[in-house]
This record gives sequence, structure tokens and C-alpha cells, in this order.
Amino acid sequence: MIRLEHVYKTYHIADRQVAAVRDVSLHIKAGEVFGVVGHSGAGKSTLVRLINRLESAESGNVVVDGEQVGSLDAEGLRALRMRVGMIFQHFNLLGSRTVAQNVAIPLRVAGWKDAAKINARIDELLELVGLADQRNKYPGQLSGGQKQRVGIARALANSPKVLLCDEATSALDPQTTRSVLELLLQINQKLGLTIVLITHEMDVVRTICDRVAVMDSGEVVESGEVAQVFLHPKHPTTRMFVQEAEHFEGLDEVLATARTSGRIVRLTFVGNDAYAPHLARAVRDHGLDFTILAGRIERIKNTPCGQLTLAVQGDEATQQQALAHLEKNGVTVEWLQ
Amino acid sequence: MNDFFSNLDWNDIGMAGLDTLSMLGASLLFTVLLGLPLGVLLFLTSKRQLLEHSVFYGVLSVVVNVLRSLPFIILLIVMIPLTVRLIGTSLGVAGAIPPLVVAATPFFARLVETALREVDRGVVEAMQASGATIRQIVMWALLPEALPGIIAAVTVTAITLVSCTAMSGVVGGGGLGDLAVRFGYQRFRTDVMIVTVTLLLILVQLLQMVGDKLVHRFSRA
Repeated sequence: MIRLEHVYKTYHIADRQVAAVRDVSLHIKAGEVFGVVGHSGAGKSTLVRLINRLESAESGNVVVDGEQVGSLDAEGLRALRMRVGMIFQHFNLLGSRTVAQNVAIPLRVAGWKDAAKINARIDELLELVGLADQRNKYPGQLSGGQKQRVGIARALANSPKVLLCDEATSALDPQTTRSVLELLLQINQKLGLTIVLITHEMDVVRTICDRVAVMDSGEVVESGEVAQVFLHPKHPTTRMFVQEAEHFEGLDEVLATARTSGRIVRLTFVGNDAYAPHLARAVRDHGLDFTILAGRIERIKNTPCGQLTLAVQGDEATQQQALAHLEKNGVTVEWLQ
Repeated sequence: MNDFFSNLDWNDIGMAGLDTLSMLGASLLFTVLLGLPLGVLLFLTSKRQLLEHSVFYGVLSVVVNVLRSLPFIILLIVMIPLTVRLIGTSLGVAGAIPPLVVAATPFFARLVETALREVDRGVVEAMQASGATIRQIVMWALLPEALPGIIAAVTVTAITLVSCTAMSGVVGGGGLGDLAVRFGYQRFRTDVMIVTVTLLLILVQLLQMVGDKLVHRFSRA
């Protein structure tokens, strides 16, 4: 659906050059929820704006829904933007217009004239986002979560294929964030909409994204399935994000305080394997002896997963046998020490 | 007390009041009609805006600044040939209107530009992202969002125009200010001075009150 190929974007501020996006290549598939995570200033805001050309790429290709975004004329660009909805951190609603009038704007932009039709579409959209009773309120009278729902209704007005979310939940409290994310997920499933979501909160990624790209100073340093990135982060920036989200300590901290002997091994269970009693069998059948040093058990989107860091004791042969058995049953085994 | 004001010709004062009101009304109307598009153009062509064009903005900016720095009394005289061309005379209430418009338009345009600058950039970005044309962004987002600021700008401009009308006596424009100068000042008629100044004060006060009410009415924070 969206393909970025070796995209560069540099800002010229005074006589300094700031590379906002450097050699980024990504492929976002139709119907998926794709997360871009990074600290502020990592270039993710610029990246998402390259997709609907609110920012123009300096070099490289941006292809959206089969169209070269860079070579569109003004008319073509407007047509593309109608097929790509966008929501914002600060909602960006018209304060002087009611909820219904805000939602009507993209319809009027698209040339809708018939008031009855426009009203019917507005009702449908407000129903979808759960604001049917707030039709004639002004944005100033709504809570943050409600404002973002209006933003979502507005973004969806012309039935776009893609929804870009620019830090859409960063100004919301955790509970509201959760409900807005649920709405996005519901829209993604119900309408088959492709969602590109940028955030600095790994929690958001874990809740709704299928795949994720991690950005650091303009570059994508790591990308892949969310579970993969979460459970086996490779780049230091990714590790930091995962640790923040998990409230779990890095391995170094664990080992520094652990008063135990034995080799350190990390086991990762994903999917239904997380529910099977593999570890119990390893103990019973192979006589594995171990201490749990750290662990987390959670869900990533809808996938249950768990990760345990163990100090294994006993003789080498028993260890090898037990762990080979675990690996055979789909558990990822990593020797850390 | 009655004796003090007994020599007043209320007819003259009434005529002068009407002159002031008609000069104010006509010049304010044309000032808004010309100044609003000019202000929008200034805003759009300024740095980091939708039609950014530093040369165009620079030239427009200089023209606006030159007109604004010209004292109104000078403008009134310099404009006489142009005023004659435009409306056939440079005298009376009608003759005062073109210079008033030329003096107030740049002033009002700058205020409009400032009011538009107060509109959240994000709102413009959201409009762009929805595929809106620049015209649609101006008409549906920028102007409605800046409306309270623009109404405040109209108020300030109207009050400035009231004080300018006082000088229109130079071209025989008439009005309360002119009456104050010719009778109150030059002929030492303190009674005329007091009455005309009081009326002007009431007019300015009324304009400000109505303006503030409207600003409040259209503000939705």
C-alpha cells in the first residue's frame, strides 16, 4: 500500500543542515497497523508527512496506493490526500465550527453539495466513533478523547484507504488512550483500513500494531513484527524503548544483583506455546534445575507471549537435553552467559 | 448652565454628526472590502505560509508601511488629484472618503495579517491533509477561526477612522471633528468644543462596546 525507497529529507535551518529522514526504506502492507516509534526529533513526524506530501522528499521514492507521490500535480495531490486520512496530536479541529461542521469539511472539499447526504454521512461517522449525541457541540466543549474521536470521524469522512496517526494519543491520559486505540483497531478491522501510527510510546505499539519500525536520528534502525522486535530487540534504541514499556530492567541490572551461580539462558514463548507446560516438563523429564532471575508474561496485540531469564544449574548434559527439548517445542533459547 | 449652551446651533451639530457617521460608514466599508483580501495576501505570502513568496511579500510590505507612515493630513492633500479622478470631486464628505480608505486599508490589512497568524498552524495542516485548496483553507478555516481577531481589527480601525475624519475639514469634509476645530478652537467657542468632543467620545465608546460584544459572541475557546 505504501512504499518508501531510499527517502531523504533535510531541513536547512539558517546555515545548518538537519537530516530529518535519512535513507529510509519501508513497505507498509494493505490492511496492517504499522507503527513508527522514536524519540522526539527522530524524524518520525517528517516521515509520516512524506506519505501525504505535507513534506516533500528530497530524493527517493514515495509510492502510495500505486501512485508516485512525488510526481503528482496539484490536482492529483489533492485527490490522493482525500484517500489518505490524518489525525493529529493536538486534534487540529476548527474551534469556531461544531462537531458536525468539522466532519463535513472533507466532504465539502471532495465536492459534496447535497446537505441531506452530507448530514447522513456525518451521522454515520459520528455513530462509528461513538459521538452521535455530540453533533452540535463545539470542540471547546469536548474532552480530549472526544476531540480525537471527532478528528477520526473527520479523517474517515471520504472513506480513505490509509489513516495516518501523528502522535494521536500523546496528549491523552492512559485510559482515554486505551479507548482511542481500541477504536482505531476496530476501524482497522471493520473497514480494512491501513493505519500508519507514529508514537514515542512503545505501549501504543504493543497494543495495536502488527509491525513496527524504530527510528533514531532520521534512520530506521530496526523493523519487523512487533512481537519479534519486543522480545528480541537488537538496536540499543529499541532496547531502551522496550525496557521503558515493560518497566523491566536490562539484563545487566539483573545480573548485577543476582546472587546465583550457573549459566544464564533466556527463554521466549510466543503464541499458544506460552500456555503449554514446556518448562514444567523440562524439570520433570530431564531434571533441569534453575532459578528465575527475571520474567515477563504479557500480550502483544493478540499474541500471548512470555520471556524468562534463568540461571540454570546442574551438569552440562542435562542442561543441553532439557533446552533442546524446549527448542523442539517452539521455545526460543538464547544463551546469554 | 442653560445660558452656556444657549448659543449652540443644534442643527449644525446634527448635520456634522451625520457627516461623521456617513464618512465613517463609507470609509469603513471600503477599508474592510480592500483591506481584508490585502491582509490575507500578506499573510499567505509571508514566511512559512501557503504561498510563501519573499519578493512579493517584501514589496507589498514596503507599500503598506509607506502608506502607514504618511501623516493623514498630508495624504489628504497628496491624494486630491486621484480623488478627483475617482469620484469627480475632492471636496465635502465624498472627497474625504478615498483618502480615509487609503489611510486605513494598510493599517487594517496589517491587523488582519496578525489575526490570521494567531490561527493554529495545525488547523491549516489538517485542512491541507484533507485535500483542501488554498481558497477553501482561507474561506473555511482561516477566516472563520480568525473572526474574533478580525472583528477586533475592524473596531480598532473604525476608531482610528473617527479621529481621521476630524482632519477632513481641510477638504471641507465636515463632521464633528471639523466643527470642533473651526468653531471650538478657531473661534473660541468652548460650548461647541465640549459638545462635539463629548459626542465623539460617545461614538468611540459605542464602537468599542459593540466591537467587544461581537468579539465575545464569536469566540469559542
